[in-house]
Amino acid sequence: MTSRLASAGAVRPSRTAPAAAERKPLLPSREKVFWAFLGPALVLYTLLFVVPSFFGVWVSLTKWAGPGSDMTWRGLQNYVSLLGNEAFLRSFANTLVLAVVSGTLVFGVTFLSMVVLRQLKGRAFIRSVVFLPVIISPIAVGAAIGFLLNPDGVANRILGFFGIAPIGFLGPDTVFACIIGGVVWSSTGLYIALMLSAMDAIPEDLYEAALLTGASKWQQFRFITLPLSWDVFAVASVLWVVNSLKTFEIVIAFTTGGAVGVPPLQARTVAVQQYNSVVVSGGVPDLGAGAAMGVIVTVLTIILIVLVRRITAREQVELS
Amino acid sequence: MKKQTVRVLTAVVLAGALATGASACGQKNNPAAERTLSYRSIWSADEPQAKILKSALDDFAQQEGVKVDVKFVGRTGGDALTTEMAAGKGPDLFDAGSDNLPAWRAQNLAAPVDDVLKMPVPGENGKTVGDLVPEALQKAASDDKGLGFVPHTAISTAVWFDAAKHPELLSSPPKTWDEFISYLDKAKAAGRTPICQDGTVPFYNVYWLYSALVNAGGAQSLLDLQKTSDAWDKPEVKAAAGKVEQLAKGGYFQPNFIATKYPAAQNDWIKGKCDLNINGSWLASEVASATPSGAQIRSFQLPVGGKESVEAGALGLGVNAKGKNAEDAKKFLAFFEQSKYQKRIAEEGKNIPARSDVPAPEALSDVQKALAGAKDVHLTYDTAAGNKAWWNDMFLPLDDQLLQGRIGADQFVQQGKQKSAQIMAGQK
Repeated sequence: MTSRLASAGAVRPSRTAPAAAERKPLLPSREKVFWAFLGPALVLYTLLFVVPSFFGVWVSLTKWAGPGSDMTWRGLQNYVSLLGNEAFLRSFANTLVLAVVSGTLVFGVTFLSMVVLRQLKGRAFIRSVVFLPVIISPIAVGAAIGFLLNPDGVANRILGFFGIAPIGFLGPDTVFACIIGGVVWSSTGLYIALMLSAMDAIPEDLYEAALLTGASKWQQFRFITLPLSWDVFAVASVLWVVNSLKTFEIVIAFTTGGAVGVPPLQARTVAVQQYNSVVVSGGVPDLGAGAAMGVIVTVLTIILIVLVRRITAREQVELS
Repeated sequence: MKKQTVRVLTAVVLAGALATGASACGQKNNPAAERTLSYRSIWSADEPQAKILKSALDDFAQQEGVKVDVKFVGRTGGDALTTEMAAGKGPDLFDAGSDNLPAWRAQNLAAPVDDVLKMPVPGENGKTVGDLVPEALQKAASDDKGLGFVPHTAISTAVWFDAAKHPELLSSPPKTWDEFISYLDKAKAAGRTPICQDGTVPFYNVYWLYSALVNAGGAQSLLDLQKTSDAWDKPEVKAAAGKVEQLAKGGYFQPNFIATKYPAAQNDWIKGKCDLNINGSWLASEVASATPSGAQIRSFQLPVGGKESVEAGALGLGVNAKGKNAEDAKKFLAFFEQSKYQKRIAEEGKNIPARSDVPAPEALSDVQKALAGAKDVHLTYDTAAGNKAWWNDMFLPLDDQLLQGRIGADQFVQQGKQKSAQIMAGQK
């Protein structure tokens, strides 16, 4: 299939990034302008991001209740405590599971949509509908969750109609599975919108040529859609890693729903655990532990992004 | 033409800037105009408490000639408050409670307000704040540094019922644990669900264990569990856990209670789907919209014997330690203790006024009576919630397991002791 398309001159792999040796140095006059434009952004970035980040690392080595309180040096003790803290380890494992399992489901559904929706009339409407959960307030989601999944909620009433005993969907044993479902429901629309936009840019005649060669829908997806939208997929994967590792609102929506208190261990993500450790409500904030969690998640995010970039690294395919 | 326009505009801007600067200088030189009082409230503007506070602040502004700046930002609007206050840019007054006093103190943001206790309350025949606010509530607003805020509302925990449906509980509430269990058994035998529980909120689940332990053992009996491993070996701890185990095994809660999302259970309770709900004194106001006409909300203390200690928590106003108008802020704290505002807290806010001479609404009268007659009082959650790692990460999850019947009292004590020791070691 690829050979047929390649021979037709439809797509060809190329390295578009110029080699470093080919780059021409800026002219001195342009260099002055370059720094004048870059300078303010660089200063702002350093002040608003780099310095606070280093401050966060510093805080993670201390015991600190927040501005106004004394800061006590703890060295690596916050990290050691976290590694022995069952709640943190659970939240860390939950975060990883959520990133991997939800990610697989999100991109599985996204790819399926790309196969199914490509030729469908009214796909713009469907795209809008599936995007809707992305913009719904987590508070509204929280209210709806109770209505749907409580022991006497709509879901259990439907099950009851078929003679099935009520299920405690939001109980500690099953709530995390429900959260994964909620994450998939609320995030997939964004990735479908991104990938369909990339798919829309693919010329229709490629598919017509593929049809003439007898390619199935799956083959069209495998040999045309996916290679030509791979760059967007690579970016979407990185976006997913970043977003999934800071999953927060949906956990609150499925558990405490904004009431005072913390979600059960089984449902906590690192972001939830971190929030619980730093808010004033219900105890003395522990910003040192919160910052240590932040550092750990940042390191994890970097590792996962590097991994994802490596996995998704391909020779760029461009239309000739 | 263009140049002329630019010049004119520049002149106007400069004149404006100079005029603003001059007026600001003028204000600095005028002490009368300097008297301002700012308050950032976590109540929403449409809540009764916000309306009461707003009208009191307006009255205060009028009588004292103080310019009041009040913003009602709602529960989450106060998230950045500590940072602003620490930077010296926060309001003069802020909302405080027994549960978050340790946090305000840890950041040195709550100014000592002990002197307010000696201030006379306007229109109360020379009585001072200290004369009118009961000692138990003063204690609920204090720590080892003294009074941290001045209470305007009392809060507590109780077992709630609808006296219109269960008049027998009003005439003769259970006096002992056995009588309580006997009531639950009778309700169950009659086909009713004895207790509704919003099980997805661990803070509410722990009310059973906390009340069983601290009502009987008094203040410090729960707090000690996070200070020394030996405290877990006290027979009172196992006895309290045993009572919760009994509740779990008795099947007194609604089916799948641990999967019930707040506020479904408390709403079901007031609609009559079960007899009892353990909750804070804010319950009546929280279920107001779901309360059927004719319902008569009342309560009793969980009957566990021992010291019969009663929870005495408080909500009130604190003074920003870095605020610019501490004197006027403190004056307002005394001003707000007037009976006319306290009555409104009871009637409109449906809460227990801090002053014991101002009657609480009927639904809260039992709690107010229990507080007034208590031999012993303890603070909300015995202040054990202050240690987040111990409370949120260990104690609440362990208690959830106990309440679900997944572990018994023996395992609870054994695991609690072991995990507490780990956490204590990590916090050294």
